[in-house]
Amino acid sequence: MSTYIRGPVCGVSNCPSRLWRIIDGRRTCQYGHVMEGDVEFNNEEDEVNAGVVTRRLNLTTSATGNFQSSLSGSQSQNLQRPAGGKKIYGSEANILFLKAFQLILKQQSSWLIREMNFPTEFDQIVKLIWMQYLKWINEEEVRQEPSESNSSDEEESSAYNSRMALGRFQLNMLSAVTIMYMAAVHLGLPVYTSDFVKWIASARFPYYKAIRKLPETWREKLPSSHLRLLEGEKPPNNGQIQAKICQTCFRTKFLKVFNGKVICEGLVLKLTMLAVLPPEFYFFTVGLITNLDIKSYYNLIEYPFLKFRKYNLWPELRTIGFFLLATRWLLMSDKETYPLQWIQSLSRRPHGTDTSRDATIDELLTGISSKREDGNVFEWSKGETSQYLKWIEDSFLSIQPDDPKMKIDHRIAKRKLLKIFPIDSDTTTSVTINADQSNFVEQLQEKYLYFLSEVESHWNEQIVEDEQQRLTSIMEFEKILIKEIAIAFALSMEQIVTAVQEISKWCSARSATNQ
Amino acid sequence: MFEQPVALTTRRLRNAKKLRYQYVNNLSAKFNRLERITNTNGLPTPENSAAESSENEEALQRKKKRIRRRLKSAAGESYSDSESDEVDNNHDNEVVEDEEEDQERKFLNNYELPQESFEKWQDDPSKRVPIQRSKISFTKYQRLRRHAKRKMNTSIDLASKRNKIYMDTISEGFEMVDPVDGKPDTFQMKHISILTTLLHLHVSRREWDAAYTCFALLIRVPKVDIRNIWGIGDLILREREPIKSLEFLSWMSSVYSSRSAFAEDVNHRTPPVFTKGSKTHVPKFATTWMWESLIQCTKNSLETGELEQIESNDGLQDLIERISEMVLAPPYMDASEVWFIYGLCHLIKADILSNQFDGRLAGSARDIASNQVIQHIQRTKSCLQTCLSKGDFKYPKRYIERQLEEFEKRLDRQEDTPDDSDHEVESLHDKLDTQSIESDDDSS
Repeated sequence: MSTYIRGPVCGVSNCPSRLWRIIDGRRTCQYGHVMEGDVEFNNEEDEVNAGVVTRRLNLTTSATGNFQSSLSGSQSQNLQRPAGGKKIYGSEANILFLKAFQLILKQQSSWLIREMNFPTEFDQIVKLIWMQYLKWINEEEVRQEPSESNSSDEEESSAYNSRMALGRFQLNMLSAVTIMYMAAVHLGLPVYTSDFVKWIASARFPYYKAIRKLPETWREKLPSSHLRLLEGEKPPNNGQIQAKICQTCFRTKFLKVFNGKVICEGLVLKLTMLAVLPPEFYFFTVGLITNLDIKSYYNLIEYPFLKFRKYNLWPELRTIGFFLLATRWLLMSDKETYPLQWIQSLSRRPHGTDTSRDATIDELLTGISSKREDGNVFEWSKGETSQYLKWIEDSFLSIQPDDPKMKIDHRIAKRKLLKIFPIDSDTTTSVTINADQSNFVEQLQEKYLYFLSEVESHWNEQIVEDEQQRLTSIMEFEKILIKEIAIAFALSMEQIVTAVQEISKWCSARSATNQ
Repeated sequence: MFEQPVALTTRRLRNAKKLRYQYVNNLSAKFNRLERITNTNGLPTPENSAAESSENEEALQRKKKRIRRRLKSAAGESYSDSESDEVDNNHDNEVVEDEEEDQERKFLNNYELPQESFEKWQDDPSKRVPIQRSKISFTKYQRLRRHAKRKMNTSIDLASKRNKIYMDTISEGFEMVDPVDGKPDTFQMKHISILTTLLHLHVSRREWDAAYTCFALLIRVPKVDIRNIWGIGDLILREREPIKSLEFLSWMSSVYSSRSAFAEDVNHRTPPVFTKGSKTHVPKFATTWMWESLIQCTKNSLETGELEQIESNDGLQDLIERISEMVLAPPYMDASEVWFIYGLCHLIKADILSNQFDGRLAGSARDIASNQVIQHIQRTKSCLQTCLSKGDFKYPKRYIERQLEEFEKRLDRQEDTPDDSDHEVESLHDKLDTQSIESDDDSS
């Protein structure tokens, strides 16, 4: 068709050709590779003046408006890739990982001191626990040393060791949370798992994307396997926190050095408020615990592995179990004070049909992070939706990291897109109810008032008292309560149910021996 | 509940896909050998020749494909709808296997347009083809399966435990529901899924402000791929601020123009196919953008009237220039719909120019003016001709021809009935509008 033209090296699967010709308007190399994106175009009008060939190079404009030459895919890809990786491996990486973890601990504890008014000594306690943990890591390493000394291939063994070491550290974001929790227990602060779960779910506590807090150079150096541990991708659930606490306690020899007693009164109070029950339930539960139970059961447990199955021995779960039992027994025995209508309105409380009380954003988020599916998004009220969207705008988007691989073209294109879709804050703020501004006391009052009005509205309904019906409604209420507690404390419902069964068995055995 | 607008590309999924394609390829190769089918009507070489194959050939090929698909499904090889037709249409020269080869690309080599990977249902009873009742026995089928599995022993051994289970499942004829796809359990995915649900919810309730907020937030989350939800975004924009809708579509088609090489982005084959374009497939947002801007230009020129023709025509002229650049390269080059839109642009331009044509002009000024109109009419014809030659697009040919003749007649006419022509434009516009929508539906 036409003669060959000298041009760039073709390069498709190492094709050495430098000669090009035009076939059907496409630039094709000697061996038949078609140059990508290069089309020659002859206008029909131009054919009249023979000899003159109009050639249009098919240039595309990039997002910046510059002309983008038609580089072939492979060529342009090579240009993008930065030369060489900066990642470090082996023991170096491990040390940097420990440093990074320490930094995250520091940030978490300083957040707690700053935002949650923890005492300033908190920082020191966290440091002590962390030092204990480091000691354990050191001991483990020493224990491993003799076994590997006689291995011949040094490189292989060191690689093996570094992998093992990473496994032995067993540090992830969850362990950071447990260290915080243990420090709080040592100081006797009324802070429980539910609080941590709440803070994590609302993305205020440095947990999700915690790596963004690390310095840029560290992030570049750390291998991705280490980084993933600090990513904090999944929210804790199924009592993972409790199990991890046992393990961390074992490693730091917590009970020998620190005070491991969980203050159960504060937890009972929290539970009572969560369940919107009158104060006598609090006193009854505390009475039950002090009269029946052994004090040492409220210490944290040391256990070397993650699979701790005696759920009823976890101090928090034990308290929860006692609370549930106390509630059940009180409701069953006292028919005068707690008539059937009262119990029924208790179970109606969390999902009243009229949405006079919106769930707070913390409740929403805790619910989201605990459930495996979407949950009841369809039932959200307007206020709840706008609260959620506001949260996404303020908190969620701000913790999203920039993609470092993004090229400038992409950035500009993205910016243009965001200009087309600006977030107009008028629409979001106008709908927002000032729920998050109202403080905890007001929210609590609202809860109780709502419950009272619910009770009063059903008070006069005449229902024939039936023993069976009473029992079923108590059970129903308990089920709802268990569900709520499971969400708030990131436990599974089975764990709570087992714990309650065990404790009720234990109680009856205990009361039998007392008599 | 709703599909997540993210591209799931984990290594495990990729490997699972590789295994599946390898298995399917092995199976069909063996089957073809057993049945002595030497059917090499897979498209010869890359995309450029696809356009050259005539209409007849294509129809024949499609028919053959359909027959073979039926045959295969009778053989019990269909694990799912999408795969049953993936089985057919294999090159015999590819029987010689190279383990290192990318099985997926090898498999996809047989398909040029993504939409062909969907099963076509013939609903016209006269065109229905009887089911081929050739059967293979169960033992034979078992032999086929064993053979196919034996051939990929190494890759199965190297696969992860999960992928092994996956292989066993699909080779038994079941489909595995991947929990990763359905149930998001990371913090990020959970919130993306909730935002998506909220978006759909508000769109269905026609609460555009809230839907807009959801969309605007969603596209700011890094993982989200806008190509999966551009349609919803466009709908919301059109309801809230119609001016921006065109801007958005033009952004979509300029940023996600299908210039990325086919091999680089094998992912575009994963459903939903139509969210993205490829070298052989015009993305839907590009055609939507063309239609929308054409309609917009036409509306503008009619609304502003004859006084400001020059300004209003500029939009149309811009559009013509842009499309003229686009049709120089694939995939727009091979898309009949784009050629049709291009033709329509010239048609409308000719209409506007012929309306402005002043009969009192004389001499060279008159020649220039009439030449302009004639030129546009010629271009319309040539574009429509190209569109027809692609073969898979229908439009009311006679009607358009009559319109073109009408425009030509206007040139000869002296200025006697200006009102009449105005009226005609109106009617043309109405008809064109409905037409464009109809044709759009036809093609999609």
